Amino acid sequence: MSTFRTVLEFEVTRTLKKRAFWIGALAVPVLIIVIGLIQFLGSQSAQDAEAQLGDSRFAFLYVDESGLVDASVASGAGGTPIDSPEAGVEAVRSGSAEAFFHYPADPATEAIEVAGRHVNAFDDGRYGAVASAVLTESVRAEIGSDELVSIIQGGTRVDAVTYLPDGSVSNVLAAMPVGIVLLALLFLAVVLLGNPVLIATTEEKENRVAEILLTSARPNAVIAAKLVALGIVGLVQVGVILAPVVLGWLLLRDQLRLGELDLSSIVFDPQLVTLGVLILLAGIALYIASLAAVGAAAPSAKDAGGFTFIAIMLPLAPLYAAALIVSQPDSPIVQALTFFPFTAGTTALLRNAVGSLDLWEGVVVIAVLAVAAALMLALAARAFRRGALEYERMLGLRELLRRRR
Amino acid sequence: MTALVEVRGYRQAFGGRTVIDRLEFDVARGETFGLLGSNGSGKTTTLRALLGLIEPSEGRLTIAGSRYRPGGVRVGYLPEERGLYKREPVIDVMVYFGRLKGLSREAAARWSHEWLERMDLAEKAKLALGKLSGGQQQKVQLGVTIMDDPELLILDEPTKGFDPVNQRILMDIVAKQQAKGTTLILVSHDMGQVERLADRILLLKDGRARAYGRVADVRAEFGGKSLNDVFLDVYGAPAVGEFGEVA
Repeated sequence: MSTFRTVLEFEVTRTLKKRAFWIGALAVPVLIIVIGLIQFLGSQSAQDAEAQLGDSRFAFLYVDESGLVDASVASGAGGTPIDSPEAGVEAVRSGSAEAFFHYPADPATEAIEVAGRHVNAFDDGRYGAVASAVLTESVRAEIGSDELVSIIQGGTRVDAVTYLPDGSVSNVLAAMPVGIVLLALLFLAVVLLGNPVLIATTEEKENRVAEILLTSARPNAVIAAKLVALGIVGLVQVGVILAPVVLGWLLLRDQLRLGELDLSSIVFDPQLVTLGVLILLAGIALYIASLAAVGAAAPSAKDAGGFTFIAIMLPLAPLYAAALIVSQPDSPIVQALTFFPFTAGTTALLRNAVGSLDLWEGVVVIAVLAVAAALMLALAARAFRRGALEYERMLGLRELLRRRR
Repeated sequence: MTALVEVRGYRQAFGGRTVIDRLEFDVARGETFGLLGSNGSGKTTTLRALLGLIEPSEGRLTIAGSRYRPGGVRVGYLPEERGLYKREPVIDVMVYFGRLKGLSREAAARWSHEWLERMDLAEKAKLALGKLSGGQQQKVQLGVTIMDDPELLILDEPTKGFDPVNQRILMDIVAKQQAKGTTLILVSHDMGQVERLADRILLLKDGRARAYGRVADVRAEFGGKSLNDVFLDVYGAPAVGEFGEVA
């Protein structure tokens, strides 16, 4: 226990002390903040564009072949009708008009042609926005009913209730976001932990520390502590990533126009959550242990690279059959993917999210993943011990599986 | 004297090829034992098997009566392939290994600082090990090897790559450990050094013992020759003429 704790402390502390770790960990939230800001500025600019229709004070010419443009709407926005599209374009080119809109006979299938005087990269977008808005407002005026417009625009609300065979209400749709988040966390772990696991398991060989380390500490304790340390570091990393998201949600919800996102409608189904969390943890454990076995058998992280690709692709592979997994969960292929250890995590989490994973299936998947993770961990420890002195070559599978006295 | 290290019927095979065959020897408590042989004769393999780093194909290799396990007998090992965590601060690496060897954090830190002070490296304690010169890294490595006051000190080609200053430090360490009664296994190509330091030797060739016993007895067995000449007798020195002349 003392060795385990010593290695664990050393591994966690040295990672958290590294500037590179914090740069890497903070890169994601910084990216999220930048994207959020762009979205915020984008939504502001969309709002501005809408507002521009009212106080857009640029004059434009237009030709309406559709017969849908309301003259008073167009006039109110600064438009003057003309007869010839060529004349309209020429007027813009010569500088006598600021913009020209050519509404085709069938705007539903043909594009509105817009010509405008260049102002700058941002303001040039207003011509298209105003051209569309004039047509939309004209149609709205033609219909004459905000209610009908709202219905046509899909602004209707549906409260659907589906019933299970036993007559109880199914909350699959409402619970799905939780399942999807758990699936996303699995992929996050796959992406974030791959490289660190390889570095952690090959570092001693690359630095020629293996002999000194293994005469001072037992390999099982070392490898177990290293993997647990990675888990702890991974949690810190996830925390760093999620912190700005949570802060952003709490502080900037209104500005980011996320107010419509009603989290209260999400249902936390106890079975879905429990199965999902356990499948996620067991899936991550199997993934880490598998990569550790590969890393421990390889002389360097670089040499393990090819095998790593396979280890990363296996959890992702079921996504290619996502449609089949969702629509035909009982098909033999989906059943095989559900219970094959290296695809079980993704498949079971996806099925769990859409409510097609039975309780017994979930329990079996957790057991399969946990047993596979334990076996892979034992294999990783064996590879760490037997491969510790293999500075030049990859340890063969046969050597790894052979029992020794 | 009782044996601290016992090797009985040791055979080591890799991929079906036997590299060490029926090896038997003891190392008594408190003695300095020279393990000799040319490159590839099986010295390092024997030490690795003794320390449980590789599993023997046959035979029994024990330290204090049982197979070596970390946490048992205190062993200081300076391997031929040596290195430490280059990106970590010197003091962190030393304390880490001290704790793995069973010292408390405080004791490991105190010992490490004292060692660095003695080696004129006190101001480098917080630097990444990789930023130290090769010679300074060797000093740190030596400190890690002896920091838990080992009962058995195993030095595999200890002077390999060491500059003269560090060779001197190493010899001081060896002398102090001998005076304290530490058991010492020394693997070296420097026959003069072994002759000066070792009580007994084992000379390996192709994985088999070719000479074993007290230094004086081995020399007598070979007609009073020096260990260097004994080595040349066992391995055979090719005459320069065999290589022919460059046209």
